[in-house]
Amino acid sequence: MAREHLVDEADYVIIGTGAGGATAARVLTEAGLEVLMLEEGPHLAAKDRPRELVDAMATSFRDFGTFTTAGTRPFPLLQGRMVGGSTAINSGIIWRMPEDVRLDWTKRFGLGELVEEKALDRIFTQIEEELSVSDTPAEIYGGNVEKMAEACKIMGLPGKPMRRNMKGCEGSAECLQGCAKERRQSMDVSYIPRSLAKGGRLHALARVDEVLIEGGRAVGVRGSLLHRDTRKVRGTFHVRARRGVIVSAGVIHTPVILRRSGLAGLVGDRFQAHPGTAVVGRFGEPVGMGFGATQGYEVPMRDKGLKLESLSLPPEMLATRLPGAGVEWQERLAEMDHYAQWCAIVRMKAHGKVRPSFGGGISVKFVPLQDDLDRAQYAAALLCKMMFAAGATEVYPGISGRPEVLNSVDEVKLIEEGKMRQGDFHFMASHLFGTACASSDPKTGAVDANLESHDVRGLYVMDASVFPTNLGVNPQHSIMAVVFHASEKLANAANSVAA
Amino acid sequence: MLLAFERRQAAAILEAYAPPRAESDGDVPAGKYDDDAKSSGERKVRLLVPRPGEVDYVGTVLKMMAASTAQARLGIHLGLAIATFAPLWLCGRFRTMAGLPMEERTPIISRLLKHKNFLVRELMLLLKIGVSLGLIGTPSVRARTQFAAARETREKKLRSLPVVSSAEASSSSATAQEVA
Ligand SMILES: Cc1cc2nc3c(=O)[nH]c(=O)nc-3n(C[C@H](O)[C@H](O)[C@H](O)COP(=O)(O)OP(=O)(O)OC[C@H]3O[C@@H](n4cnc5c(N)ncnc54)[C@H](O)[C@@H]3O)c2cc1C
Ligand code: SF4
Repeated sequence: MAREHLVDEADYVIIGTGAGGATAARVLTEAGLEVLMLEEGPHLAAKDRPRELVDAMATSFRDFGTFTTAGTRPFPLLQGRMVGGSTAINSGIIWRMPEDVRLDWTKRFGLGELVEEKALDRIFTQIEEELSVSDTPAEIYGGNVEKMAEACKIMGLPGKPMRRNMKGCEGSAECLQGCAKERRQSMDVSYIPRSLAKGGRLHALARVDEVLIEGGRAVGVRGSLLHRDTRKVRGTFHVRARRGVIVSAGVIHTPVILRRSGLAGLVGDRFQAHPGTAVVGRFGEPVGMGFGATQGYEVPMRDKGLKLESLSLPPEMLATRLPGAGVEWQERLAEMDHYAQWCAIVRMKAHGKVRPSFGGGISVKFVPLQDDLDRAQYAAALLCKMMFAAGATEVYPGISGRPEVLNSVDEVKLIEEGKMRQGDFHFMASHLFGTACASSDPKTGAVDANLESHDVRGLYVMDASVFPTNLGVNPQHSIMAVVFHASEKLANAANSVAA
Repeated sequence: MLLAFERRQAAAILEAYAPPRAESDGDVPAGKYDDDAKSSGERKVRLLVPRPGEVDYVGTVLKMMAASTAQARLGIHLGLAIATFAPLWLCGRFRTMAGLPMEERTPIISRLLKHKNFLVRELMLLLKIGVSLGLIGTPSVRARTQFAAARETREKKLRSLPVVSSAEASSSSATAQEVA
């Protein structure tokens, strides 16, 4: 069969439609510029997203969530792969960039203009209005959140309801599979339709393989058209970018595209993350994890580089977290409505590297430091204590080499004692940073304070890759604000040239 | 994606994580609860245990493999191989897992899940993910877990909450669809 070949052009070509790409599209189209978004994943209306977890993960998670760090102790790095990117599978938790991060970026990376206080404040407020950000209302806490709030009260911890981008969340606890009623204001239901309505265009199932560079300037992209079900290549495309190419393919794929396009130097360096570890508690009475905001309550512990969060899971995933096999497991499964799960995300100090590898593969080298592991251990023990404080009868710390089941708070010392190694934890990371860092100094960054490449004109990076440090809080809002600001400046510059 | 031999072993291994009730046992899960189930806990277990053939574990793992990285696919093959020959290397018996009755397979799975070797443990956990997706992803089994009961009850209470109008809620989807 003849292969399809698509040729197109636009002022700006945006690669990826997650938090970064969709925000860039939203700002540039509204400034009257012609934008074409290219997204490797499918474009699915909320009603068409599969509800069964196995199908939902196959459709909207990159590699079914099995992409991991390299090495002998790998752990998964979760990413979305559909129109909306990771925002289409996330919990919609919203945090403004912490002030200490803003000051650090200004001082160490010369990004004062990009993260200028007044501009960021204005943009954060605007995004919050546009995406209906508000506190999780008590009516949709659900049992998982209520138990965590109770534990915080008993232990005097500074717990609070999460702020989320949702319009009338009904607490179906299914954010991971996609919000069937479009309550969560992820990019696929907010900024992308908004950009399309203003004249933006989108090709889904279009994977960019390379940015085309001529005479030191980005002039377009080429890539492959993918089959929706098999994800096999069914054709090719070539898109000319009249003004610039914006790479927003996420922290893992942005550096790979850039390196495959001939960029080198710091591209792919300074990979950072907030890996998380989770604890499950079993209660005598039903908790009802099946109802409530997927994530609704949190305990920020910034001084320790930790954040504790309630995290409701689909029942299939909860089942995996219950210890044992055979009757032992089945006995636990029989009380599926009696569990709570909370997690700790760790602002790790370790830095890693992302590189393209053989046969189109990608290698992410990242090894947590002992200090990172010590804090994860502290957090896991604290979560166990919180579970018992809330009345759990059994707690599953999820740590290898330690008891699978704790029966009383006294046994938490078995988690607290001794040093832990990376392989003891079952980490997962969904907050990823770095790999095409912004810095006004080309010696410490791949892009400048306008997010334009130091080496190639007209080539911009607008996603979490530009973050020179991790945040210690959920990143979506900060990514959007930074990209919003850089896109505004880009639009102003483009329009003033045109004028 | 799985050879015929692997497929046969996979069926025996995956099913052993959550043994189905034997036909002759009526409602009783294999290996335990020989007496009449008296406590509500036991009754719940009886309710949850799958019927023979109710869950398509191999089909689920195949779906999972089709969407996974090459490394994860390799991990599944390796995990199955480790479990297939576990009767030999773990228990010194000249059998594969498919050659053992269910009541002998499950304890081997339990031991593998707690094995001191990181790779063995993690690969067994990877298979357990496939089992969980298959088991709880089977609507008839999931319904028996009562997981959604809380949602159904609480949803009734939600009627008083402010919710965006249906016109407002559907307008964004219409836009996205039109353009798609
Ligand atoms: C399960 C999960 C839960 C999370 N929960 C929260 C939360 O509640 N709050 C929060 O603040 N953050 C959360 N995050 C993190 C947040 O969603 C991400 O940090 C954010 O979406 C990253 O934005 P991005 O633009 O860098 O990349 P992404 O949003 O990941 O978007 C990248 C897009 O680029 C596409 N792409 C990649 N390569 C190519 C290519 N070659 N050609 C074309 N397209 C390509 C991808 O398919 C993807 O759609 C969560 C993440 C996950 C995975
Ligand atoms: S909890 Fe349910 S209703 Fe609320 S945003 Fe998530 S998927 Fe939507």
